[in-house]
Amino acid sequence: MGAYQGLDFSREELSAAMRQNYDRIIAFVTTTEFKALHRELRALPPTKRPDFVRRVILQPTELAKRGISVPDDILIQISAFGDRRPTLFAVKIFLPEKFHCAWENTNLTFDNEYEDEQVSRDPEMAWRAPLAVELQNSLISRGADLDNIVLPND
Amino acid sequence: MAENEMLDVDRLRKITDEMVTAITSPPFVEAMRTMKATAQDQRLKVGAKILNPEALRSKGAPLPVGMRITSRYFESGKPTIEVADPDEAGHPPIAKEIADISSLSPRQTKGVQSAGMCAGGGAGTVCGCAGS
Repeated sequence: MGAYQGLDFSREELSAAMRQNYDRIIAFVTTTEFKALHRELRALPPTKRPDFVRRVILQPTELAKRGISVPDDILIQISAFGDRRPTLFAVKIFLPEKFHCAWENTNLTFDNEYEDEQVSRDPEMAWRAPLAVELQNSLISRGADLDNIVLPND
Repeated sequence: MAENEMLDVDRLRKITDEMVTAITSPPFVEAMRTMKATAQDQRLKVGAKILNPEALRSKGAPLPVGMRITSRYFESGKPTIEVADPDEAGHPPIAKEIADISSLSPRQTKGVQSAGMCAGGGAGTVCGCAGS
């Protein structure tokens, strides 16, 4: 371990900050209440899950009905990946700003099921422009293959 | 994977431990700094070149087996857009959507500020990620 060249923090400091964030996220998503929410999500067909995320998982009042209170520094967000995996939502915590020249956040990401070979690791495929999140979710809701969408800049 | 395995504390700790070891390695941090110093409109091209498993492993970054490195775009919750139904012949509306989303491209390009590193995805459906 040790210092990074040209940076004012060490690998140990960055690792500790990431470990601390992940431990807090893991503690949050492994509560009885969050696990029940996750079961509720997973009981739905994959095409119905984006709507559940929008109506329930992103809504503090719906979460509160289920006994879930989200700490101020934990964000639940939707996102899209360039590799076009069918992602649903992420639970995220920002790292302290001193680390942002390298890393800004740590998160656990929840996806619909996919076969490993369905999502390419080819850098040219993985570094496509992500779809607009709302478009991605509409396509997941229709059971569409996200790989069939081509953006003008792809 | 069974529900109780997906959100098992030990499993999540293991995959995030592997993530931390990989993404704090000096070659990975250096590649991230290079990407962040790159103009927005060049980041996809640069990311594909320097932030890919083969390039990072060749520089000594200890990436876990199956790690994925990809562009990512975060957005706070917004309603989904409406997409047209399949036409009368039953063709899916993909071609129409491709034409219609051209206006989204500049915003998407602007939004690609994030690189997503992910370990433990796929059949597990819950993976450890980091972004920048």
